[in-house]
Formats: sequence, structure tokens, C-alpha cells
Amino acid sequence: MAKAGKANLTRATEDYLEAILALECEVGFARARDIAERLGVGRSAVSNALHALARSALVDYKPYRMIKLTAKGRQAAVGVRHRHAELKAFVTDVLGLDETTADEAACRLEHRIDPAVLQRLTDLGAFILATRAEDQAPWLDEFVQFCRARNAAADAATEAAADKRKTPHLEHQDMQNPEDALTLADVQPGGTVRVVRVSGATKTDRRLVDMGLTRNAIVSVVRVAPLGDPVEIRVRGYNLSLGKEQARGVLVEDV
Amino acid sequence: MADPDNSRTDPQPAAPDDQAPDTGGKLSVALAGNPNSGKTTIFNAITGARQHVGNYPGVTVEKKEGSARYHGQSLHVIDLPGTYSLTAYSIEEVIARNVLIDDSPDVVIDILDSSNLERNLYLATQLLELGVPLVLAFNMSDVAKTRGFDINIDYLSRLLGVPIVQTVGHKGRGIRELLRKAVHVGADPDSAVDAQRYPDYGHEIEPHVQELAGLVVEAGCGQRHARWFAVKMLENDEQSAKRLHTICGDQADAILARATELREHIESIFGDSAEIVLADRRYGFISGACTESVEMTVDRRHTISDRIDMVMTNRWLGLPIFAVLMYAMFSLTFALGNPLVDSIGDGQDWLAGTVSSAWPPLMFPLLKSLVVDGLIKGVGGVLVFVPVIVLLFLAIAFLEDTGYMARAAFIMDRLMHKLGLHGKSFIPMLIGFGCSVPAIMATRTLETRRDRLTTMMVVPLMSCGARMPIYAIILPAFFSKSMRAPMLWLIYTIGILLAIILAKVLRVTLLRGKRTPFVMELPPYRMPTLRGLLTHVWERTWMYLRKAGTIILAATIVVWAMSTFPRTERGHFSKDYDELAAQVQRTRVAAPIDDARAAELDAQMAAIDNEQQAERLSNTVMGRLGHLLTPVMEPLGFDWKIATGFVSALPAKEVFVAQMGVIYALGETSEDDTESLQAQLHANYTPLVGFCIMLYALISAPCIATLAVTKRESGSWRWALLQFFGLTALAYVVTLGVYQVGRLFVG
Repeated sequence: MAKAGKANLTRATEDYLEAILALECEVGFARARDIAERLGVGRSAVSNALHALARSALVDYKPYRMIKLTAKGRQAAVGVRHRHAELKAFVTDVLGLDETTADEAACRLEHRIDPAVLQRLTDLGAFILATRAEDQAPWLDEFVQFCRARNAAADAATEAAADKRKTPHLEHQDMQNPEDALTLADVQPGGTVRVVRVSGATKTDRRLVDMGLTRNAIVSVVRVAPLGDPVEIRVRGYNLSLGKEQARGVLVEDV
Repeated sequence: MADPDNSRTDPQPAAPDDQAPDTGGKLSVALAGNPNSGKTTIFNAITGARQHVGNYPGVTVEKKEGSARYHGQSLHVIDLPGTYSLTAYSIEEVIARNVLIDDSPDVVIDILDSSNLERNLYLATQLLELGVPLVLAFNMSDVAKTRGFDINIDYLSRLLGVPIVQTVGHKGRGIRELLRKAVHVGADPDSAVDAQRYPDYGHEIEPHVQELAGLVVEAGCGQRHARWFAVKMLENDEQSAKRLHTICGDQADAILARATELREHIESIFGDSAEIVLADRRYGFISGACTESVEMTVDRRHTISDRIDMVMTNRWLGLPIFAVLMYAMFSLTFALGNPLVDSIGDGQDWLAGTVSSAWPPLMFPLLKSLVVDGLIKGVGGVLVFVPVIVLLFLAIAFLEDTGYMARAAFIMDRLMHKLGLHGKSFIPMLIGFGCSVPAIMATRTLETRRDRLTTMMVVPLMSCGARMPIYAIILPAFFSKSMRAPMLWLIYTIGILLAIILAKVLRVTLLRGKRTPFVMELPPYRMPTLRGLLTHVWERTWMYLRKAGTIILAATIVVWAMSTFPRTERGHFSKDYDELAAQVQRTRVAAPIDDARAAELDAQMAAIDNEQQAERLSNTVMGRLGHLLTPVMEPLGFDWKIATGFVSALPAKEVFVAQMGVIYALGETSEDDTESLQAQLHANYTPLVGFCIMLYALISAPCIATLAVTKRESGSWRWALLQFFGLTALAYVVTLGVYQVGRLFVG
């Protein structure tokens, strides 16, 4: 993948380049250990990735030596970094969201979005900020206000709709997971739902997938244990019991 | 999706049965399959009694092996642990796949529950990916039929490129056919593997899998498992990465780096971890195959099993039913078991009595003592557990084989979860009130080692039946009638509370780790077979006799030696007992006397004898140990006599009573004749000391049998020793606190 050049760098490759560049700027050199720490990944993963980067001639790397970006690598890394800063500015200054959200969003956007669209987006940001500075346009603040009001109304509307439908198996809208409110733990006995996704973050989540709770699998909740914790479900023609905690990791939707 | 027209219809031409191909010696057969698929039944049906149960090296996962013959071909059968998948997340799965790769069996039989085909095929897809020569046994085909599944076996067999045999394990149906296919596949594994199909991961992922598999082959790291490695690398399976490293060294780095790239690519496209995406695809492959080959002929929403569960795990009835069942199991076991235990005790006494009276007087008295007090007692001590073990395990096997055990865990999980344990820990803890030995053996039903060890460590705090004789002596000696029941209740409660605290402490210290998430299949209720139950019970009883029995016997003999040596020679006693006895004897025969006088003299004789025995004991290692421990035990309110009693009670708690009888020169106290001992205790100690004796008996070092079983079940002496010293230390601290604080109030 990486050998195709800058346009086609994988997300991980970009992250590595970014990290190496940052380290070079901050401390003057990059070591595998520091990279691992910075990216929160294992040392072996770093060494694998560095081998790959070296093969694509993006870094100079020999085990147990300093790691240096090649000219090609530096160019790619600077590109990534610049894009990141610009995107982040767009999210904070134009969209009015906080720094942390902006950082994460920028990370996700920069690797996924089409370069042409990205370019336009950053241009738009620069343009808005420039015009704002010129005529002190109050519309940007109004925009932020508007967004808040609109989202609040939308939230209320969804809630009302949910109430109206009076779906029998929605116990309570547990809002700890604002993106997708409905998890398997919210479904009442007798309810049937479709699996949207299993979070996949833990070993248990992966076990659940092995047990057949895959995307689009149809699951019905049979009963809750007498003391209220494990729930019994039926999936793929057999009965499985799982703790509420585990059920909370399974996002579902009504069928 | 596999294309049936391209695959060879039948990988093995049907050769006549009597000419089973010669594979040169033994054919190795591995049995794989999901838990609850009837794998054990098939294993039993294939191997009969020719079984051997052991452990996989270094872990406490049972390894069952057996042998069978099929038309002159001898088979070596390995029963792999039951697993749902082949990930690296559980020991069982790692063991199963290591055996499959390292031992490369000639043929693998995957046993599937035909009435639960989709999930059972999930393991099969992974076995296909692994590239092992496979035969599928569609077990419980009768159940599947009654539940309305119409499976087109031939078509499915062609779709997967694998021979499929329908079986009914507990009736032995299809077993010969299964062996026939297995022997044929085993005769030419390579062409069997060539004919096999595996899930196609679709145009986004499949090219990646093939690219990696190609790299693995190029590097010469294993032709046979190349696809497996490719898939596992995409799943970021570290165990497989390590294995690849050991096989092809430096070349692995490049392949792994490439795999990382491809994995990240997959993850960025699907927005999910590659592992989950691949599992999705596998189930997709299975659904596809099943839609084409399985039809539901009847639409039955509620099976019998579902209906049973409407009662058994009912929100309101579930708990009461569970309580009643547990009570029934417990009381039945001990009601039926105790008479047997007593008759073993009687038999032991009778044998001891017969041997000592038949022994020529004054000949080898030491050998006589060894035989009577050491050997017979030791063997008795081993056998005494057998009735209870057999009955309890029969009950447990019944609950397990019917499928109720899973429901019990389902019902109790909330409560046990609070203690940091798993729902299934409840049963061993309950059995602990009867006897710790079978209780610790019952921890086998727990899946994770952490849960097993925690449960094993706290089980001895459940006050077992052997502590009862001690309470039975102490309570009447020190407490008024109305106080006895509350005191007994208090002791049991303290045990339970300490167990809860200890479990919690262990879960944050030595056995730290996340609580075991609760994900458990609730298999349909089934009628257990007698043969299955008996095999189960026999295995455990034999294991106990063979492994724990030897340790218990050896320990009993050591304790015998400690309470026998050094012997006090005649003339070294503080008094001349022989002379005293002779005097009484002379009085008795000198003149005719009435019955009352005779009885009085007999009592004097006995008293002299007992006193001599007491002095002899106090001179032995055991007695000296008691004396030596006195300074340590004094703060608990114990004198050397109680200390000696506790040391001698190591083989079995109830020995304490008998030993106190000897120390107080009352002779060995039997349970029917306790009043004189109670009087002695009452005269010598305060009720506070009495309570402390019960407390110490409850908490301190469990009996040798328990230690032996803990060693056996945990796989190391480490945990047994920790249990021994840890609980003794706990007993010391608790008793010390109670005695010292209590003294302030009681004086």
C-alpha cells in the first residue's frame, strides 16, 4: 500500500510518520520506544510498522538505531501534520466545538476524507475566518447558537417519537451512549431486535461474535434471571445467557 | 461461497470395509466440538472403557485419551477440550489448536449438535481453515429431526467438501460409519484436505487472505496451515504471530508487517475490528450453506425445553426451585452417604479390633501399632470419603447432564458476582458444608482458573461435616441448652462471612483481574444416560483414590509416626504404671469380691492405662510439638493439650475429639461417650476458650485430604500450601482477636 506513494498512505502509516516528525521536532530524534508510547501501541507493532516504512523508503531504520525520516517521508509527514492543524482549526473555530472533540475529529477526518474535499473544507474554514475578521460578522456566533437550539429540538423530537411509538421493549433510553441509545440490555423480555454492532473492544465482545451475535443477527430476549442480572436471549436457534454488562456492549435496533 | 460442482463429490472412494487401508501403525484421531454437542458421549461410544484421563502439561485442563479398533486398524483417540471457536482467548481453545497443529492428528472428527447447526458449524469453518483432514459428525440427529430440521446431508457435504455422518451418540448409532469415514480420510489426509472448502471472505478481504497465505507459503513456513496463519494474522492473533516467528524466523517480520497494513486497511474500510469482520463473514458463509441445505419442516416456537425453563428459571419460581433442588441434593447425599460412611468406620474399627486381638501378644508391638493405627486408619481415612464423593458427583453429574447446572449459574450469578465469583461457584461452596474434598473437586465446572482457585481457597471456610463432632463436644460442655443453637449458627455464619471477605481479598490481590464476564450457553434440557452419569462419577472417584488417596494415606502414616515416636521405654515413665496395674490386679484376684467392687477395680485399671497412654503421648514428637507451640498458642487461650489436639487433628478434624480424650487420660473418646470429656473441659477451660476452640477448628488449616485435593486440582503445591498457611494464619489472627477482646469482658 505504502509503496504507491503519498496519496495512498494507510492511516497507521500516517500516524507513524506524524509521530516520528513530532518527536524529531521535540527531542531531535525518534526511538521505537518513544513512538510506541506516543501512539499507545506495542513495541512489536512499532517494529513491524517501521520495517514496512523502511521498505517504502519513508524512514531510515535499522533495529536499535535512531529512526530518521527520509526526504520523502518528511514530505509526507509534513503534509499530514499541516492537514491536521487546519482541520482542527476548522472544527474549533468554525463549528464551535471543543478542543478534544476537534483533535479526535481531525484525526479521523484526515485519514478518511477525499483529499479534494478536504482541501475545499480547509479552504472554506480559512475563508470564513478571514471574512469574519474583516466585517466582524456576528453570524458565526449566531450559527453556533442555532446549532445548539436545533439539536436540542431534535433530541426532544426523537424522544417524543419514541414515546408515541411506545415500543413495548424499550425499558428506558439509557443515554450513557448518546450515539446509539438502544443496547441489548434495554430490550425487555419478549422483544426481538437486530444486532447493529458489537463494540468489539473486549475479549468478551469478540466471544459474543463467535457465539453468533454478528451484525444483522436477529436476537430475541427470552427472560431476565430472577435476581435481575443475566439475561437469556435466543440467537441462531439456541439459548444464550449473558450479563447485563456484556449486553450493554451490543448495539441493537428494532425490527 | 463454495461451488459444489467443482468439488469432488466424495473424497474417498468407498473401499470395502474389511480392507481398511493400512496407515502404518496407529491412526491418530482428534475429537473436536462445541460444549454440549455430545462429544463425550461419542468419545465413550468409540473408546468404551479403554480410556485414560490426565491433564495437559502445566494446565488443569483435562486430557482424555482412549483407543479403539476398527477392522484391524487401531486408533488412538484424543478428546480435545470442548470449544466454541479457535481464538487465543481461552486455555481450552489454545490447547485444542496447539494439539491440532503440533500433533497433526491423521484425522479430526468435529462433533456437531445437529439441532443447533449454525453455531456448531462456526467451529467447523475454522477447522476447515486450519486445513486439518476433517470428518463431521452431525450428532443428536434424532433430536434435530423431532425439532423439525430436515438437513440435506449429501448437499451440505458437497458444499463443504467434507464427509458428514449422522450420529446419535447415546444410542451408538452411526459410530461405525463415523469410524469408517475417519479411517478413510486418515488414510489419505492430503487429498481429503484438498477437497475441503472454506469460507470465502469476499472481494474486499479474500485477496488479502490469499496474498498473506501466498507469503507464508513462499517463506516455506507451512503449506498446510498457510491460510490459517493468514487469517489469524489479519485477526491480530499474537499467539499465531509468535508461532510464525518460531517457524520461519526473520522472514516472519516482513509478513507480519504486511499483515498489519492489510488489517488496518480492512479496519478502515469496515470501521470495525478485523476479527469481528471476519467472524461476520464466517457466519455469512454458514448461513448461506444452511439456507441451501437445511429446511424447517415444522414451525415449533416452544420446544419442551423452553417450557421447562418457563418454570425452572421463572422470575418468581426460579429461586425457590433452586433452593429446594440444592437442599434435596445436599440432604439426600448426606442422608444416604452417612450410613455408608459409618459402616466404613465400623468396618475399620472391626478390622483394627480383629487384627489387634489376633496379633500374637508381645510380638512386634511397633509393627502392630503401624498396621492398626497407621495403615488401617489411613486406608479408612481415604475410603471414608468415597460414599459421599460418589453420591455427590452422581447428583452433580445429573444436574450437569440434564442442563440444569447452567440454569443454576444463571440464577445465582448476580449474587456470586457481588463476591467477585461466577454463578457456578455456588455449587462447590454449598457442597463445602458437607465435605471440602468433593467441593474442591466440583470447582472443575468453573471455566476460568481465577474463579476456580478463588473458590478452592475459600471452600474450607464452609463448615464441613467433620467439624461437627468438635462442636458437639464443646457446645454442651460450655453453653446452656438455649445458647447452643445460636452459637452453632454463629460459627457457620462466621465461616460464610470470612469466605466472602477472603474471596474479595483474593480477587484484588493474588487473583486480581476483571470479573469473569458472564456469557454462557443454556443448552436444551436432556435426559442423561446412565452410562454417561456412571462414567462421570467413576472418573472422579478414581481420580480421588489414585491421586488424593495416596497423599492422605502417606500423611496419616506420618502423623501416626509423630504420635508414636519417640517411645517412652518401660522404666522411663514418671510412675511405675506396670507396678500400679499389677497391684490392682492382685487385689482383684486375691479374694472373692462382689460385682460393684470388681467394676470399681476395672475402672482403676483403665484409669492407670489411660494415664500411661497420656504420658506416652506427651513424650512423642506430637506431644512435644504441642508443648513447643504453647507459647504461641497461649494468647489464644490454648494450653499444650489443646495445641497437641489440633496438631493431631491435621489428618481429619474430628480426630481432635479423640486426641483430647487421650490427653485427658480418658482413653479414646467415642462420640457416644463424651460426658467425661465434657466434664474435664468444663473444669479446665472457660466458655471463651471453648468458643475459641470452635473458631480455630473452623478456620485453621484444612485437613490433609483437602490439601491433597487442592494440590491435585490446582496443579501445584503452591496453592495447597497457601491454603494451609494462609488459613492457619487467618485462624490465628481471628482467634487471637476474639480471645483477647473477649477476655476484657468475660474476665
